[in-house]
Amino acid sequence: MAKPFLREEARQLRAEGISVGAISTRLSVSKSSVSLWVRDIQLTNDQLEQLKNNHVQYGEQNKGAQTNKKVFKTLRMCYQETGRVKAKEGHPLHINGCMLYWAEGAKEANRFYFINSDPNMMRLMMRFLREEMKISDSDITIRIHCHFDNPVEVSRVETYWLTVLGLESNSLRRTVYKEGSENREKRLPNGVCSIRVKNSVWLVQHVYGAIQEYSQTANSEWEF
Amino acid sequence: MVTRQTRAKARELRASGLTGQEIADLLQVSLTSIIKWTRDPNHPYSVKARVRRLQWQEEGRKAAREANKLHRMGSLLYWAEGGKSRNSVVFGNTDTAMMLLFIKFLRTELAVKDDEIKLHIQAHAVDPIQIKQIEYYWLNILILPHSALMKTHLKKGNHERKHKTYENGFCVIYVNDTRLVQHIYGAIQEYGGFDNPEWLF
Repeated sequence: MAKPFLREEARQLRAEGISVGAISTRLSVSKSSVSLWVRDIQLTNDQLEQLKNNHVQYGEQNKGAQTNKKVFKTLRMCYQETGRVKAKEGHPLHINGCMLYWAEGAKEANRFYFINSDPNMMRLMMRFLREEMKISDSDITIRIHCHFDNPVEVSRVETYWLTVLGLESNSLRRTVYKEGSENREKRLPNGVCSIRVKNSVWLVQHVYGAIQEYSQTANSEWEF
Repeated sequence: MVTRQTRAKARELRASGLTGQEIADLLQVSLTSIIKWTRDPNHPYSVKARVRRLQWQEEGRKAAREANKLHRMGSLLYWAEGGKSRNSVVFGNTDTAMMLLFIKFLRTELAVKDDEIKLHIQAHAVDPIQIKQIEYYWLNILILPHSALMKTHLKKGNHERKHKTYENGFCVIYVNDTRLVQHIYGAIQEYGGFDNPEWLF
């Protein structure tokens, strides 16, 4: 064990109620080491109060982050509201896109990320993005995940998906090779393709709002 | 172990005139497998069944053209989450809202009766009370009688952690009806605007 004496000393100091930062400067050890050594020591309430009072800006540092969090949450809720409004019109292609995203899309807060191996489904999703949401092709990137690393095969698959989705080759990200059984390779001869949209907080939140409107439910998990 | 050779052998024996049961005994495989492997796609029965399935898909397409919102939503969810089986509707998810929407689709759009629906629940739990709770949770939500329940499948793995993530387990709806599932396949193709030859089975 490294620095056994320092470690003992640090633990003694901590038990007296001194902050981790102060211990680290006094013993010239890094803060992370001290934290590691002393984290199991329970401080009394008085000592915790003392530490809080020492730190003048306690709670203030965090405040900006909290405000930002609130602002962005409201913003996301606004986007969801636009989705709900749009959903009330009940446009067929809009329903298609939202239902597919509900089922197959990634449920992330800040980006639109849809992944599948069915070319028909991917084509429909692209139509939804282009025609319904007016996303330009330059904002769309795709990535292929495949179970083979043979360069000839890989380039075949890349052209396959680019033609299926009607995209230029500059929207293609580096293809990822996945370890897997031979069975997968046979079952997914064209790999799996994922679509991402740049700067798509509004888009994905719009979709979440629309899904909730269509299914007539409220999903608290989407309040991020 | 069953290999490609075994299957080829089974087909050979079938062509030479042995019955399914005889081949099954000879090769030490189940009769069901033999029937599956030696099925002739050009046999009049197979052709007849295929034509019937196509008709049902056509029904689905027709219903799709009438453009009902719930019908569209249910079919598209089935495309993404449903099992791609030929003869039964299999739809599973952990999302309660999605399951509710789907069962509404089955009941109102496809006129499925409650006694045709089977529920199969998969859970990460060991405690019998917990398992009962999960079962009743789904029965209550989907408003189904207790008789709809199949035997709950207890999954392997880290129960504690998985139970936290999937508190109510995973619920699968089964309806064994070729007509329904083919109707849905037809509808999906109509909504998506494509033809999928894989669904001609």
